[in-house]
Amino acid sequence: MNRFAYLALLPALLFGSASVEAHANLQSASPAVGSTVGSPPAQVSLTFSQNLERKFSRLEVRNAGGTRVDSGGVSVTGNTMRVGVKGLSPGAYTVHWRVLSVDTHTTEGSFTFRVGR
Amino acid sequence: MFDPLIVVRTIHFAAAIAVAGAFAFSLFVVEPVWSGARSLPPEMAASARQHLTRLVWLGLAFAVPSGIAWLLVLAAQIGDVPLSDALRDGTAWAVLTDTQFGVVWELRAALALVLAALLLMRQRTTVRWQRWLRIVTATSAVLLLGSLAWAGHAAAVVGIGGSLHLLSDIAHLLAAGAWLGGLVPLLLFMRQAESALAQQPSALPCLVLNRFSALGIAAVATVAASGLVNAWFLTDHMRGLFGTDYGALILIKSGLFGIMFCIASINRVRITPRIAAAVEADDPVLAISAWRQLRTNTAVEIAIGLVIIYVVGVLGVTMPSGHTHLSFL
Repeated sequence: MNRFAYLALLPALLFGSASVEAHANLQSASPAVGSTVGSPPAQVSLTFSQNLERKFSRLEVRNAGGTRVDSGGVSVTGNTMRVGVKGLSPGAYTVHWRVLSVDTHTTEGSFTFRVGR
Repeated sequence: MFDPLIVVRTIHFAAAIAVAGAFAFSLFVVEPVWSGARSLPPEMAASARQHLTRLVWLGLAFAVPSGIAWLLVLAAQIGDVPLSDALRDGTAWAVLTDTQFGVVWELRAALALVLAALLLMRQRTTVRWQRWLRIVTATSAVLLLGSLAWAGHAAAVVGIGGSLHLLSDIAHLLAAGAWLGGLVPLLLFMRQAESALAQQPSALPCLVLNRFSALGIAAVATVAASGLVNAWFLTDHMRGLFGTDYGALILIKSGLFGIMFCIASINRVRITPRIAAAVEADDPVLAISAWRQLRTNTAVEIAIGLVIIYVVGVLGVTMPSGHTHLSFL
């Protein structure tokens, strides 16, 4: 990047165009992102790069038909959040998360995993 | 896109820095000079104290509303709702009571209240209690500024690195308060002392400059060292210093700090000795001309300092390059 390209940031400084961006990034997940697991998991667990705020953090698991299959009781400990899932039949599942890190930045994302051989 | 959070952050940081700086200037600069001075005009000390108290009230008058605005704007962003809805639907209350930021805000609101109450008490207490009150009010001001570290990126980092980052951030804030915040009462003092200096060159103003200079050196060294530690964590061990928005803002901030440092060095190495020499030679004309130069430089430093605080305002809503592994190089 050309050193003068930083001048391009001056409008951002003057008018504050920098937007609020995500700070807590997904570091690992169980079941892992995009993985296929042989036996149905009892819970879905996500670990982030930063500690999370329980009150403003959500986690949902849906089946291929779009129906929620999680228990709804999300627990947050430090930078990890978990939700129970029961009796997942073979197929694809989508995990959607929206979390607030303790430095007050919201981030969201989703990934899928598969149950079956 | 205009982000109101940048504006409220900037105002709040500036106000908290001004409050802490007024106390640093009082405790470490003027009060020791006043207590050691034999031929101090009593009205000079009284008027300087009054200026400092007014400055603290002014700082609080900006810090409290901007702190409330920060909470409301943040709640609206977290809830993804308009500002009025955030207040009505309870999101703001939930942010205040159910998040780390909110708990820190409750404590800081209590600190602001304590500070205001102590300021009022100070005007009505006996001399015996004045010293203790000054220490307690100064501690409240220090906590009011230092606790801002829990509202920033350092508060969310996991593990021992997070604690180190948090400590470094607190040191950075307090040193900025002592230096940048101390420049405002210094400028007020310089304006006040200028007429006295024109009538009768005296070594007293030079004592104030020397003490501020000593405080400044300690504060600048702390700002630089803690700034490096913070940048290390926030720019992925300096790898994100180039090629990311966050890194570029850190570089701009460092450049502005460098300019302030150069002006402070010129003040210390060239202008202050010139004033001292003019006072010694009993030459009011020379003393006043150097004094005015110093006043101008101090005003320029404050202006650059405000731009730095604005950059800090932007940094708080920009993703640190150390928190992501993406780069647009």
